[in-house]
Amino acid sequence: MSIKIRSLLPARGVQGFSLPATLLLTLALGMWCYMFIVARSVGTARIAAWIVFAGILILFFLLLRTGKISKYRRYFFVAIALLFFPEFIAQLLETRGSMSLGAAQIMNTETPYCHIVTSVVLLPWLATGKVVFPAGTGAIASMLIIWGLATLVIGRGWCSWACFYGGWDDGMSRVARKARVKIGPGHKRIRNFGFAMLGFVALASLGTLVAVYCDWLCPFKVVTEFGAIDSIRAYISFLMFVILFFGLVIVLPFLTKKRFQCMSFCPMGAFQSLLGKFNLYRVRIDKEKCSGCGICANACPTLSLSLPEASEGKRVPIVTSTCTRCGECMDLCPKNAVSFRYVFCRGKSLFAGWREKLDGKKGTTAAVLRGITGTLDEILSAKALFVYSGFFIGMVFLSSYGTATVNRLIRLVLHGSFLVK
Amino acid sequence: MLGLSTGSFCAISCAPVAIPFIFSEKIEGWKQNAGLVGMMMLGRLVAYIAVGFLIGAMGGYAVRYLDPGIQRQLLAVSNTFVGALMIAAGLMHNFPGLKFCRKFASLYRPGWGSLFYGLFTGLNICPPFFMAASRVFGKGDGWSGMLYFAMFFLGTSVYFLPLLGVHLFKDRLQTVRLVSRLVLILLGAYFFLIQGIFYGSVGRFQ
Repeated sequence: MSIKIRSLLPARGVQGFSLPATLLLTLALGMWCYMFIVARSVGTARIAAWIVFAGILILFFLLLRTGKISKYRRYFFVAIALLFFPEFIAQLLETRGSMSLGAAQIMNTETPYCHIVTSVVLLPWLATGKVVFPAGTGAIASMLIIWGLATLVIGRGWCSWACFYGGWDDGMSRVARKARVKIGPGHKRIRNFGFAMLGFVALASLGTLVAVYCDWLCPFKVVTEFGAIDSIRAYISFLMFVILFFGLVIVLPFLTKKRFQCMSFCPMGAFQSLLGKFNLYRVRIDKEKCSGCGICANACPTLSLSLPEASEGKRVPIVTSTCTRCGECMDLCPKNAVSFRYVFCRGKSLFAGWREKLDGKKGTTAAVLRGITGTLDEILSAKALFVYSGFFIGMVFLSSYGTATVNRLIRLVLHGSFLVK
Repeated sequence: MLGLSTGSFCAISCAPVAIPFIFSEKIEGWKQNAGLVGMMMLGRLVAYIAVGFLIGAMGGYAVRYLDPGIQRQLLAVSNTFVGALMIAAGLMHNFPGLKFCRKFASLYRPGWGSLFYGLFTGLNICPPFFMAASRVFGKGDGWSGMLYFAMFFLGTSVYFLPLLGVHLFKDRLQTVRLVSRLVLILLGAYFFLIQGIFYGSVGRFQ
């Protein structure tokens, strides 16, 4: 019991939030969760909604209270991925009877549109005004709105907080205790490979006016939908999907403890890195506090922290644009030197001036005001609002697919059927 | 006029080859950049003139007797060659220590590379190219066909002019160059394996 209680307290070297700030932030997220998830559901779906609702809030509470961002984010993120696919596949089986995509669906532009396609079809669209992907305007618009707003708020944080594919390799990168194959910040070419993939996919799609990534290279086709296997070409492309899925999403993350698919293969990840500069938050490393031990740079699952040459004195890592804001470096830093910051406010708290004035004063009012401003400082800190935004955006996906999957599982237990016939 | 009005499609078709190539080369100034772009354009011009002469000379025979599959075959062959060249150049840039790369580097000259890229992309039968060919079919004269394609080349070349400004960003090109060299390999593999060998052989029978 004592261990469990201790796990709720802020860990050494990691700054957790005070209980009032944690409760207020959890309450604020809980209201949205209730509106999005619970309020609209009936029957067994309501039970599923309460389960998802409770799960999200418990993880969010623990994250804030302990300050272990990466640990609880990962549970949340993996849950998004694992709960997304069963519902997606079940819907395909119910409506089409198969995961494969026939000519009729392509002709009727009934293909679901995922965010990765955006990076693939953007250049052809700019050049010709046509989207080289068989999806309807509604599907494209709704995904673009969610993704666009999320990118404005959390930038490349999308890749660690909201993307319903990312949980696969994030989870797999944590299965092994030690990396069997060591990859560190020196392997810049691996990190740059993501940008090369973006360049390749965008230019190849432009030159051929075909969504090349979706046709040949998307590992997640194996667990979503794929073209009907009715030709040599389809066989080869399906084989590619299987090899890439097991290679990039399962095997390499397991062996290296790095998020290979997201780091060096997903064109959307690289695209997010370019767009991610236009948002409020940054990960900053305090040069005074940093001891230059390099723990963070070696542990970074996307090789986003580069270490300067040893000859340049203390090796304070540099945060690159590929940072997915997963919080791993913050959890591991023994000096607590890594943190979220606003772009416009470098480390200084919003109420610092008020608190300085209050520090010299005595009495109950001053103490209460100190408490309130302290709590407000925590709530309005970059760390709190970033984490809140990340959970909020992830919750949007969980609200539909996650709840539906849990509902199907309940139905499976009660009625013995996962699919609705 | 046909070149001017449809040239953007030519640029789109050639962009996957032209962009990574230009950005992967170490460009010091405008002269070098203009030289590379000029050689590429020269390669395109040679390909256009040759095709224009051939189609013009064949005239009606081209329409009557040419198998439609030949168009695809020609494209596949050109893609295979351009893909192989891109892979070799990409490997040479990325892994200069390899034995093959050292050998290739001793033979490779950016200007000649540029000329070959232009030659092969010139054989890339994009929709505007096909339209120009359809105009030349009726002429029944190789020289007229050549002249028509030379004019078509001039019209389409306008869309390649932005490449002349690459050197303006040379200070910021370090990372772009590293990435472009990887893109060369990836695009080369795509052109070589899928657009070349696959569509040239297996793709015919599906």
